[in-house]
Amino acid sequence: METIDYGTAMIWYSMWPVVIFVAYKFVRINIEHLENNIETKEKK
Amino acid sequence: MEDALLTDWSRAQFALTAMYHWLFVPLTLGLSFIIAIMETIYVKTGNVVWKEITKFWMTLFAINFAIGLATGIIMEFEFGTNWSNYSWIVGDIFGAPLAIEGIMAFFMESTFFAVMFFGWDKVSKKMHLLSTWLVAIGSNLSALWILVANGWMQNPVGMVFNVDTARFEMESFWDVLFNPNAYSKFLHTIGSGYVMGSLFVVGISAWYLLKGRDVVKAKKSIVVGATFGLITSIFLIVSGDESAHEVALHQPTKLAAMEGLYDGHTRAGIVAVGQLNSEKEIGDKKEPFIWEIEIPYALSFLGFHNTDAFVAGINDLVYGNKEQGIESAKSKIEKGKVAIEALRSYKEAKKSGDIAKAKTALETFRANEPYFGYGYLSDEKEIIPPVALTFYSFHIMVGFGLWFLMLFFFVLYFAMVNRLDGKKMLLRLAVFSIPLGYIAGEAGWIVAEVGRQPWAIQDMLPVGMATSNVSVTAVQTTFWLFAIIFTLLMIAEIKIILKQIKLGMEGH
Repeated sequence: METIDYGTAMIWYSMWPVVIFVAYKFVRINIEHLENNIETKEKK
Repeated sequence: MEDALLTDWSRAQFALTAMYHWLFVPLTLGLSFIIAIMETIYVKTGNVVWKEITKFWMTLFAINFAIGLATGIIMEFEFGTNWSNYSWIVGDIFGAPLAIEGIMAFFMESTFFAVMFFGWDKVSKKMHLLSTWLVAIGSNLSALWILVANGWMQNPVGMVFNVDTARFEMESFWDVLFNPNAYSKFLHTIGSGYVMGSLFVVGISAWYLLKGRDVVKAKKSIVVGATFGLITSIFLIVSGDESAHEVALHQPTKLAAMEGLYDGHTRAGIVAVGQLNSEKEIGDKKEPFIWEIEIPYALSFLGFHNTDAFVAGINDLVYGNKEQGIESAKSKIEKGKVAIEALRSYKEAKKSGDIAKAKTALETFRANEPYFGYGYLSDEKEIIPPVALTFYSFHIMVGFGLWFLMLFFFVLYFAMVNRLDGKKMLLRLAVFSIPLGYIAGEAGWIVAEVGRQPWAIQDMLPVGMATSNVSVTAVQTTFWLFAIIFTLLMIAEIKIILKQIKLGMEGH
């Protein structure tokens, strides 16, 4: 019977919240950039 | 003949239910997190535009969630109605993650779904936001337990065969949960859901931009969708690589079928695109492809993370390859039959009280136990899944996946440099990519499930041994009944969603 490596599995599972967090952070940065663009365009 | 027909119809009915179910699930998995991110921006900035954006996408999410439930519940019932032998033999292991899914994850998402959808003016902003995140986490946890169960079917671990009850019983819950096939499947499947959710948001927002309606909200939505899609597409590639690695280790016949590889070799390349030779048979000398474009070394690397690794082909797996230490299917079938006979002999000896004979039979059974499932096969070629369906599905999935990555990148780039409005062709491509996301997702499941045939439980239980003792007519009747109901549900969903989209983002 195959020996299961719990440590490796936990590292892989922990990627799930990390990906969501990274995606959220990038969304915030990009949205800030977009809103600044829209604001600048409106002022012009 | 009757048995084969029953197996085929039971298989067809489950495939029908699973494929319809997968039309609704990925959107739930992906859109729930996109909505949670949008609402977080609203709560953090206090900008009501974000509240309206969140409520719009939440309406579409709710329609999809409600209709998706029906197919999911029917699928679980089918384990009892059509696959009762399977449920009897492995229910002790398979039932545990399904029960956790129902009690923990499904109840969690359903409870907080009510707060999320109806509670805008009834609970505080923060409580509402927490509910939205819990719906997203709950729906993804639901997927986790289902995929833990599915991963176990692809690579059965943490169990022992009880010879007295003739059932597989769980020995280690943690082995089942931390099974490499479970986490790789979970991450790859939710990743595909995130990409699907992103395509949905990007595609619909692109339609608004093309029509010149709700432009600001559509632009904001498209940036959220494309950013989320780009990050999760990269994640999808990483988890896909791990998934392929596990397939190579535990399901070599699936890997060979995915690549149309008949004669294994070291430094094997991946066929990037190609057309299979339909006249090719296992064991003959015909060329497997009419034409193909191959990426050298890539299959050895994908499967074993080593460009020099040997990748077994279909012929090696059927006829054996002594040089590489691969046993022939014929030898495995013979050992499997010995295991079945030993089990029968053990039971008879136990019944008659012949302890010595029972002990010998048990030892013989344990020595041949890894081949137990093979004993139910009659032909060595049965171990190979349908090659063409697995091969083309795999390549469609990968090809579309790469296209989505490029789409998200270009959409995001032009949105960031404020030139997206003028990119009409790109926006049209974004709209037309929504159905491609569904096709890619379905293709992925075809690779996973068709590719592991003939097994219900890898190497342990062939599909033909897993069915219920019901009449073929009963399965045929319910097949068509479900086909009609699911099609009506799908039409209803599309109509309601299109109506909501046409109403626009205003007023939400």
